[in-house]
Amino acid sequence: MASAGSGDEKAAAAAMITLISSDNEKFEVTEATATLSQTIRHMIEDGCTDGGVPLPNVTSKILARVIEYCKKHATAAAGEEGSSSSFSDAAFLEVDRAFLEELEEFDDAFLEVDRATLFDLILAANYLDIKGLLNLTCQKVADSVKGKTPEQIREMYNIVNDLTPEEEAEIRRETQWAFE
Amino acid sequence: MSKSKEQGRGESQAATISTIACEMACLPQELLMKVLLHITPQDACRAAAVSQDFRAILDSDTFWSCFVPNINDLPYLAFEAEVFYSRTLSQKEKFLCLSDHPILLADHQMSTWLDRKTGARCYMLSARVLNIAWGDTPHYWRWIHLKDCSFTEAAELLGVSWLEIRGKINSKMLSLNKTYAAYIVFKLTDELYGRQDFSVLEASVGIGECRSTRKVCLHGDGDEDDGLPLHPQKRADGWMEVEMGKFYNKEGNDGEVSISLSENRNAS
Repeated sequence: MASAGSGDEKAAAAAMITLISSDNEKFEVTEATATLSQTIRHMIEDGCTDGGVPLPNVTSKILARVIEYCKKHATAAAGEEGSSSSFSDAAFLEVDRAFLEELEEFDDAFLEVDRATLFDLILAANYLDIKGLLNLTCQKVADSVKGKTPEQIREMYNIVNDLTPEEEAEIRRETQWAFE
Repeated sequence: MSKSKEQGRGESQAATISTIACEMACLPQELLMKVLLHITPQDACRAAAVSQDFRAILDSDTFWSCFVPNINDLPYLAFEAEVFYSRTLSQKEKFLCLSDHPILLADHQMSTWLDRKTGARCYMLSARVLNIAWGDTPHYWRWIHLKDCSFTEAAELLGVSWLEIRGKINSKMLSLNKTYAAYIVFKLTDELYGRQDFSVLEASVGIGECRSTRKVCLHGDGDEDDGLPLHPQKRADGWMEVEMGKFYNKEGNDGEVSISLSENRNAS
């Protein structure tokens, strides 16, 4: 294992993990990137990552996107740690803000995907237990519901209305103000 | 939320990912809950009418418990508030009650309610816990009894050469990551109208190092030219209110929110 004194790149190169998608594609990632997933972190801790980590619930298309997210957020986390020691507080805050802004921009661009991909990302983030990604994608869907009527939501997401007219009337009566 | 349904959905999940486009309807109930936990109370009340699955989640205690303050976080409950918390209501019912009727805290000098659109915790402070300059000098201010109000007392201004009112509240009592506005609630009496000039007062609201200051006017029916100084609005309860400033209660923003209204020091 890399010693604490070696550079970031060396340390990263020393610990690569292979992830295998449901359609059998292999992805080589650093341990720092992979361990953003709690699921994979536990596998590494249990020492069962030799020969690669099979992820039967995640397609190569989605896994590539998830890795893109993890790489960016792992780099940002490492950058923050590295900078804290070499800058004064004020300078650190400045760097910190720049990092956060850049991350936010990345996240916004990352979420520019079609709806099916977005839901696949939610399922993958949940399965891989990547808290940041799960929050980000759930928030995106939640934002799309904002200010919409039940009819609009059903139409937007192809949801079948299985409420009886009486039930629907009761819900509207209960919280009339929310519909105005 | 029936258990059999959840299991059924769980089994089909893997197949869905690889074959057809995944839609909201194929999210397991547990994940749909995670998505919906990000929406506001108003959107939640509306979206409950989408389908049975939505309704099950959006009527559930799990969803509403993040908005209803835990009784242990409200240490100084007045008796009525204790009665309220002892009632067997669902979390949604509690939320709807608390958004309709404020409950009294802290020796009846503070009331709290929930904003039904955003779910944010809101407070009103009684005049007794405000810091009023010369407030205990009967020549300048007197204490009067109120009927049909949350609080039983108010401070009535008889006339004072220096008007200054300060209030504070701990930011920990407020909801995180919400934009708040502070208001002063008042009534103007005819007798006072000619004696005291309320046309330009300085209102200031701050938390930590962020502080905003603006000019406000307490006289009613001001024509809202460019909105400055800010004029008061009539409330549903018949009192007037004017917005003194806004602030954002972000995470880690420790400490006290201080609010003040005073005569303009640099009045021309």
